Amino acid sequence: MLDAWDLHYRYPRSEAEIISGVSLHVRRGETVGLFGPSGCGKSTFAQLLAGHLAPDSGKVTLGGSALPCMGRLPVQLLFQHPEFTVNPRWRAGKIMNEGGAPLPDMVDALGILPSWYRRFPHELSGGEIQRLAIARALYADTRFLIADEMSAMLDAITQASLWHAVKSHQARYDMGLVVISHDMDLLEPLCDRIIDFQWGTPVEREIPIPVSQGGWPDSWDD
Amino acid sequence: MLEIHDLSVAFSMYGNGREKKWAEVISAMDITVCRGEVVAIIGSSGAGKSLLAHAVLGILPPNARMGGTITIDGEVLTEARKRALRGNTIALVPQSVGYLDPLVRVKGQVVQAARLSGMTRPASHGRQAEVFARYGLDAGVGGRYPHQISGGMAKRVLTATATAGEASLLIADEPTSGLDPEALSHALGHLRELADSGKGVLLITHDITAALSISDRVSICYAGVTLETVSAHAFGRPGALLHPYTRGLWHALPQNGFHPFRGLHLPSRRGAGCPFVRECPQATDPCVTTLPPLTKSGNGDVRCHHA
Repeated sequence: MLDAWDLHYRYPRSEAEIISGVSLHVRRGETVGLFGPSGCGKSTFAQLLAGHLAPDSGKVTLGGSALPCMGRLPVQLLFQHPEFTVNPRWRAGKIMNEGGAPLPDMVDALGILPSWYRRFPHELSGGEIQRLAIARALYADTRFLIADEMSAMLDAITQASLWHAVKSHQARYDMGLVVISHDMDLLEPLCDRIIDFQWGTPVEREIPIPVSQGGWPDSWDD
Repeated sequence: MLEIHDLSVAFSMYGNGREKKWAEVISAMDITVCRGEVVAIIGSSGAGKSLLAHAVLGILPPNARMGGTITIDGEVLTEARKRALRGNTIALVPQSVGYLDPLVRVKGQVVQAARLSGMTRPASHGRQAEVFARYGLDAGVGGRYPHQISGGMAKRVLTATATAGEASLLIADEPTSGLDPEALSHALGHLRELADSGKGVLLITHDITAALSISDRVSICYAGVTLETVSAHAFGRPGALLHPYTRGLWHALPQNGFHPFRGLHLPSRRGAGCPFVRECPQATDPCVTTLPPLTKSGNGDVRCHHA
């Protein structure tokens, strides 16, 4: 269980709190969507949840205890712009192995090619770097993944392939998933429940959605 | 009004030592845009969409070589003609804020764009106020420098700059990326209005949903090749789509089942055949050896041996 208890956060030199009293509880194996307009604090909340920012008040707990801050973190965060999350002086192979050797199944599922390993980030496309970032985040001991607009800049086919890889990892390792997006069409097929993250409203509003039948789709054939 | 036929773009590169090589980035692109029409070019990154825009405007880098023909209103566009027409007949809405001059106030850049299209000084100031009002930019924004405005505002300033002149063809390169839904629908609405007022609009994007909401026709590109051009409402049902890649694209949309592709290869063209041959479920021998011609079909054009 990943829990956020009554989080408050205000950026330095800013008047109003961007996050004021938000709570969220995510079970393992569950997918929760956060939906809202840009600037409403979705990304700030994601960073609080992953422990990248410390809340002014309130706390985030993982299985009842505080988030660890050393070693490979059990709560991983993925961003919309992966090119800013990699060291520009490292080659792709080193970037991918930053937290230890990635799962071979994951490397396969993401379509990462050995020919990329010698390249620097500026020699890879955004979609290629995002694949490395996903491989670097998803280990057998990753218990929660927070995907902040992970596929917003990708074309439809890459988007479907990457989500397919993430969802099959989730099913296999019983991982909790928080999907942040402004695209309701994307959230609906992915999520078990969706939370409307509106301007200044600290209260969660849950939108009931039909749970899709027949599970996650396989690859499409004519 | 704009007709692009069999466009190719290659870059010269140096391999080992002084050996010069040509890397072909666009192999065969065909696009037509008429007045009063929005045509969207859809493709994954690296499909050559932005390069197509740069080829029309004549702003390719010096090591590029272009083939094929581009005509506007029946007249072949030579490099000299492109220089004469860009800014007044053809305008570009570029991809990012990086295309604004960081040292000039935003207002000045819009006025300058109007001036360069042949307006008098008072008329261009009037036009600047007019386009600012149209795109919901406060008069105060005009006094700011590009780094002082938000991403959404910058997108509107770029559109304002492109529409300040009397251009009859507008090329918008990813005008919607990074906008929230409300700003997105405004930006798309403005493009539709421009087309309805008699201009031709070429919309370059990877966002299919956004493109379908305002376009008349959609052209699907893959690794520098136009695979299919269809009317936008054909995208409502997969049966009307003829190319296997286009059908795959339809099935990959979250609202249509979210089916991933079997292969995860990145688009790149090798050899003389169809660029999609390695992923295609219907590929046969001719697909490997020859690039099929773009042929007429019910809703538009398709480039496939099996369609």
